[in-house]
Amino acid sequence: MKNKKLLFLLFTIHYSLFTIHCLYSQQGGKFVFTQLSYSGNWDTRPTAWDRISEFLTISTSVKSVQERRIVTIPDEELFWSPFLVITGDSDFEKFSDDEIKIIVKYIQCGGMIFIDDSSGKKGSGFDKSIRDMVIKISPDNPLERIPASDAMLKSFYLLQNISGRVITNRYLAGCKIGERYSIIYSQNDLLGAWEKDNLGNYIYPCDEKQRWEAKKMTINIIMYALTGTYKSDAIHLPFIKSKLK
Amino acid sequence: MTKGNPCGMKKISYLLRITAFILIIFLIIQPKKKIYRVRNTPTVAVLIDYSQSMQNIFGKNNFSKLKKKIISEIPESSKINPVFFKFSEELNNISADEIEKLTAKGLRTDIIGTLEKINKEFLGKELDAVILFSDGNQNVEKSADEVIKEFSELDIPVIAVVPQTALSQKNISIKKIDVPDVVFRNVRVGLSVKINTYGFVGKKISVYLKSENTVLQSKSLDIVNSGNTNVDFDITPQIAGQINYSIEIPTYSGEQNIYDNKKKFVLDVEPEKIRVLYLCGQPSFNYSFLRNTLKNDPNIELVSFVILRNPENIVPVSDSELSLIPFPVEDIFSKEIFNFDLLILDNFNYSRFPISYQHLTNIKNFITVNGKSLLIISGEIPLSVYQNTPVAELLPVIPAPEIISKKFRLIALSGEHGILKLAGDESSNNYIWKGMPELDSINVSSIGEKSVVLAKGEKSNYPVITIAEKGKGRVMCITTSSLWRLALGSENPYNYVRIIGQSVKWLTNAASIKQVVIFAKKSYNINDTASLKIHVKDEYFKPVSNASVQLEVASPDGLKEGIEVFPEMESGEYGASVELHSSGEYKIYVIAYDKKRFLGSDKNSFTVFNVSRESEDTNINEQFMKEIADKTAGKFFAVDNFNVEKSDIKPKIRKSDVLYEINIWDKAPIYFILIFLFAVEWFLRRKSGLL
Repeated sequence: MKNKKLLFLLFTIHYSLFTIHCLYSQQGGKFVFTQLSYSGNWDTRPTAWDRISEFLTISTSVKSVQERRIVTIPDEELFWSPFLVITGDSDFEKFSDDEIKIIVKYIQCGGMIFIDDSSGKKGSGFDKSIRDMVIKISPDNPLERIPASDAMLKSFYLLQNISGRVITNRYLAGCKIGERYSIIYSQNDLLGAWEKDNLGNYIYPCDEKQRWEAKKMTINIIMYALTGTYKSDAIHLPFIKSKLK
Repeated sequence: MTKGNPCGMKKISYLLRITAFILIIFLIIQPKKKIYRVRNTPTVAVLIDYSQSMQNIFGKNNFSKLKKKIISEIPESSKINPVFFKFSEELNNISADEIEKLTAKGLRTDIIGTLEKINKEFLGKELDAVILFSDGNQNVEKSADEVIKEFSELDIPVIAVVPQTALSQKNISIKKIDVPDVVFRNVRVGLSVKINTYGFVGKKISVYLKSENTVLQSKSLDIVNSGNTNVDFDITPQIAGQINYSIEIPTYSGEQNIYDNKKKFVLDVEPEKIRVLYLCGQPSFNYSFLRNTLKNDPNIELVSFVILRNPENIVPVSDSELSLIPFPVEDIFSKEIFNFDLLILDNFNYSRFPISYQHLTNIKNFITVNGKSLLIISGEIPLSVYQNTPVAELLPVIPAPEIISKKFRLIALSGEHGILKLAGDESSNNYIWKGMPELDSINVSSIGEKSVVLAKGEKSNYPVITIAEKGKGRVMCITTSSLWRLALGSENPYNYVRIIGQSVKWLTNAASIKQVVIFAKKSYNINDTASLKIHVKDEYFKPVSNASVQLEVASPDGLKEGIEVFPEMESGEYGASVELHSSGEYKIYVIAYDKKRFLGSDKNSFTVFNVSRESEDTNINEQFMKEIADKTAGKFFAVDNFNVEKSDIKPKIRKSDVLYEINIWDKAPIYFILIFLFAVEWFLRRKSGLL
């Protein structure tokens, strides 16, 4: 009996180590979709990344780690994840000062945060909590509307409008640090547009054209995280201009 | 009592009183009589150049002849009052008797400094003229205009006497090459060459501008007059770095000295902005961090291409809805590449594109022939994809196809190398490197021939950062795609920025984007004074005025010495002087801090040739001597024609200095006369009954 328990314990440890190894050792130059786990309802769109990952691999040259990485703020793994996603649909407990300090360092060292409000409502509890947090993280560069001319709207697809599963705002907000936006905030439930059940049916209703635009916007945000303002380089401008005509 | 003529008495009395009154006034104002010294003989400073060139040119006997001429001509002359000085770098007063013993051993010739000192020496005293015996070969860098102007304003003529007429020396020499201090690549620069000719009037000579024995330009020069002539060249340096040039004139028959027909110079060519072409095989965090860093560097002009979609990727929209642009393979690899300084290939698998063998050969030529640079990054795509291609010959590592996906710590093997140096001193630098975060995934490779591994993976020992010089260019290889961790995982993200910045600087050999730069001429002559200039900037390339700048000079014998550094007028500029008493290579090291914050370091070197300035130029600079004479209203002579009378030296002011003064009021007879006058006046009045 004791041997069985020991065997089980060893198996568990080995499995855990193997899982960690799978999750983190394969990163290399690959894109990792890292999601923040916090005290509130953080995992509102649990399958979105699976769909995004599939689509990203088919349609672009981006190589990504298939598994979603879930981190808490104090996790060291946060600093292995230059792209951090925060989702939620309700208010949450304020981050402590130490946690805010870690996020500030994360941003200053080159990390990017994408926040997606799954509630699809203006002035939601999540929106209030997020805005409080962003003021603390980036007091000098508050949230502002990202202009339609920004590289984010042309990082892969040429987008004229901001879409989402729901259209709460016709814009994305962001905090610009240096030449790129380090915090991107969508209130349009972009990730909700990807969610499917096990039978492959979309979970959240949405006009299909609008859903497609939301998907394109998501891909653009990921591309923006990986290429920055690349599409604002002078070499692209004449091509993009002629295509937009 | 007898009464005389009262009217006559009155007149006499008045006369006496007026006389007495005048005498009293005389006593009150105390007049003096000044006796002046009358100068019929002008005071003349006789300056004798005893620098080595006075003997080198004319030989010992001729210098002796010159001395004899001075001794015979000047002290015996009653026309002037000579004060003798010998000069080279320093000015010393000598007696007439010492002239004979004078030997030409001075190491430099400083005519301008000597005239300056003479002016100060005679301040407040009369100096009527200067007789200057010299060959005119000023070889201490000073501006003559101010000093000559001062002599002209003070009305002191300089009689310039050269040891013999220059026309007797048939020679062509390159006197000076003027080049701008800062030269940029691809920007036209003008060179002005001063050529001195004697004895070639009416002849045509050729002047060549060469680089590494290749003639770049030639000019034909018609010699109309003997003396100095300027020839101008225009060049446009194509590559950055130090480029050796020379100006050469063929040797013509009868030339006295054939060694001064060639003069070398070095141009430190700076890139106008470092042009970086960044080709990335896929969007990645590595691209994102590296691009962001390069974009934020004001010294870099970045053009990048990321392959966002491969042929196998399917996008359910038309091309017009995508922001993708065609990858211009032909343009990039056949033409455009040569307009860049640095090519970055980041996990770029050439075989997925119509890139031909010739295109890859162009990359190789871009480095080895054109002297440009390559940064090649692997980690997702192994470098082995380049095997058996011309690019493989550029790689500083021998790559394997294997990529190990494991976390590893980076070990800096050459922390003091300019690329990895993150602190001023070794221990601080080691401390920073020990604290660096872990990286992930490594492309297996082994070190290539003549390459240097700067950093390796802990435990695996595989090279991670490797550099090599290939032909004229430089190559750097990074075998991981996770270098961005040095920013995101580090306590100080600036370390990553610094490593990338320093890598670009090393690769492109660019001094202009160093935060701390030390400038020095590339060559000096023995006993010269090297003037060093140091520019200090902060991370944002703004000048730092109150930096702590430490300068160390290692002489050819290896001895190191700290040199005091002084801030200069310009913000962020510092200067220092080094006396060069040994021949060979000097190395200079500078480190700058801003309140303990390490700003950067730089090193430079220069060569000191065992050729004194005095033997370098063996011609008489007749033009300079004439210029001094003309501008000060003096006269110019060859020594054989010189005599004091012809010099027409006159005292500026004949009456000068009060020799002595006579205080008239101080004489006893004056008082006796006064008393006598009053006594007579009193007596007459009494006698006339006026009292």
